[in-house]
Amino acid sequence: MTVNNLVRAIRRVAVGSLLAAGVAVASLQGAIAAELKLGVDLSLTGGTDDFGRGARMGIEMAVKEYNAKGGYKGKPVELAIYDDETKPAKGVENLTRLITRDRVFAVIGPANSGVALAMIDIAQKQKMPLVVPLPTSEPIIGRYANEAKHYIFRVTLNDGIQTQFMIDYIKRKGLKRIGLMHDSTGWGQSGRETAVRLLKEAGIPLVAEPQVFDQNDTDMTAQLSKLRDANVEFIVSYSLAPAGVQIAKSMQKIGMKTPWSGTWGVLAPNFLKLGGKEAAEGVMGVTSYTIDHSDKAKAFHERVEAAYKDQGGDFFPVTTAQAYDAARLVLKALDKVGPDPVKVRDAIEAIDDFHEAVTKMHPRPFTKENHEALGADTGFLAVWRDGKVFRVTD
Amino acid sequence: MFANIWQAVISGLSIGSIYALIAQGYYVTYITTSTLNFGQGEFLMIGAMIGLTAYVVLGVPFPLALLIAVVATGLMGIALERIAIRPVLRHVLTHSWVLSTLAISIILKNGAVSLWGPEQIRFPSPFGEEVLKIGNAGIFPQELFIIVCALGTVAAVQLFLKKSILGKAMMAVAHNRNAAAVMGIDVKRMVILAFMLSSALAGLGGILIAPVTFAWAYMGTVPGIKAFAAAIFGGLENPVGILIGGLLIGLLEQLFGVINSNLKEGITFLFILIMLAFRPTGLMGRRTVEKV
Repeated sequence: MTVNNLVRAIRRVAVGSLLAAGVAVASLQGAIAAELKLGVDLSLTGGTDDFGRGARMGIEMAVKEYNAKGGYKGKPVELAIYDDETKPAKGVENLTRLITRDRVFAVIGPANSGVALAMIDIAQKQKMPLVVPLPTSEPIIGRYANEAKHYIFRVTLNDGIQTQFMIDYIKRKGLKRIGLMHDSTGWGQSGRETAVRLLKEAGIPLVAEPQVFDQNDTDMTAQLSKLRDANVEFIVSYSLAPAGVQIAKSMQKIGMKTPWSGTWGVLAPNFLKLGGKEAAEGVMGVTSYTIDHSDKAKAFHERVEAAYKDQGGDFFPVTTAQAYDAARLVLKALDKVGPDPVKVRDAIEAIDDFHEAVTKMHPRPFTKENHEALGADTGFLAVWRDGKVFRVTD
Repeated sequence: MFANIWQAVISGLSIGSIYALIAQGYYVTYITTSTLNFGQGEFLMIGAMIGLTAYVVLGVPFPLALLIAVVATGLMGIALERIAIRPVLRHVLTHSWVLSTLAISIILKNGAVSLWGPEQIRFPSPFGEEVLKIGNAGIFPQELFIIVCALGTVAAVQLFLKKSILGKAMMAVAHNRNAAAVMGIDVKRMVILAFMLSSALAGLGGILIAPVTFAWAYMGTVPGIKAFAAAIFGGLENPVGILIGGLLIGLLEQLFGVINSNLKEGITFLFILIMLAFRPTGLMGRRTVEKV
């Protein structure tokens, strides 16, 4: 009886102290881990999951290579990756969790403009550097551009700049008869305004009324016929992948072979999935990266193909490349100043020796005034050839 | 210019025949119960998604996939009648069926998003992607198939209603519910049959148009509304009027598109509005003279 009680008491004490020790170890681990966690929020499910999954491969690859070279002062960097399901509220929740629970030193993400616009307020307020690898909406950078310390960085071509590359192509080729198509969403309308302005500045007027379509229209023959009647040589189009496929198919229907370019949405794998190789063939879009635009890009493409064979290989190359560059910028900043979010922000802004970029980024991607790593001279047109996206060379 | 108009006619007929097909579903339930299924577009979507699952995912041959989609949506029509129509029709003057059918449609749309995701999915046409030429207008084989199927189905439904015993019984219920009951016709069963037929027509529409519009959770909303417009435009109680109404809306959209793509839908519906002002019961609706 008394022996039993004694045993029980000892057990209780033992368990108690073990628990306490466990908690102490756990919190110690927490403290160490908190110093070296890189946060990631992407849409791995939901509407823009292709973008998110492509980006995740790039980030994982960058961190893996970094850790293989010894990590930060011998310690490997850990990744905390969350899925926002393409929902703005979930993105905000994930970001808050990354800041307060995971205590990360920087965050890369998200993959969707709507989610990004919801997240930037918190990143700016909580002084957490947020490197946006894919969303193109202009206010993501514009909203806090005039703050003393701006915490949002972008590593993708924004909506406003994309049209410029189509105009550059038109000018280079000496094309004179340009047509314009756009969907009736706000995005399409603002694209039309940008295109009309830039064309006017370049002295190349539109030869037909801009043609409008609903983003769910299935037959664009009426619009295309009008452009054909005007003898257009090139069509600038603001269409997401589904409408873009319908444009391509309607062109097949009326036997129209006029070259046309969309923004980068028509280069997404979704375009190929919906239209098939035949409809995609020859369709152009804007990008900052193709698997053949430089030797570094070629080598990177082969590494991704090999490492992610089981996930479809390099299935959306530009997203993987941009996210890879984003992660490498953050890790470079970590090397310089250590895992402190505010210092990392300053370091990202000051990087001027980033020669290893796989996209067409400059060695000094950011300045205090400019938080867009990809801009006027870093984009180009790419084209679908046999189910893959290649650089337009002429 | 003529080439453009001819292309617009061909494209318009193809789109319009889809509206006409779905609109027949509104007609069938309206004449028997004076109610409409406002979720007709979502039944169309379910037909497409079930067809997609059978044809693409499970690899079932196309005719069988089509049959599966039609039967499945037909059965859902029975459930619809039981859940959303019968309970609210207990009160003679109620219009609650508007809400209850809309509720079902929202539930279906939500369910489809969580089952199949929110994105468009490719539905490969069983007839290939080779463009056919009619004169100098191009058309995909699937679009031609849609026109043939839609016209054929409308004719078959008419034949069923006018010639078969079951169809005649249904028409009797439509004509006079009480008299039909007195004559020994099971009114309840005829109403169920009407909803089954209506939903199956929508399901058929879904698997037919999916190769053109892609299959996705929101694919039914716009065709559902346009088909409703076709039904009212043509005259809800006149199947031939509905057929013409559907084809005409499709045609008008494409023809106005040739003139100005910005305004094509606005002008189409303005046209409908003007027409209704002159013929409130629709293009071929019966004008009933009410004696006061």
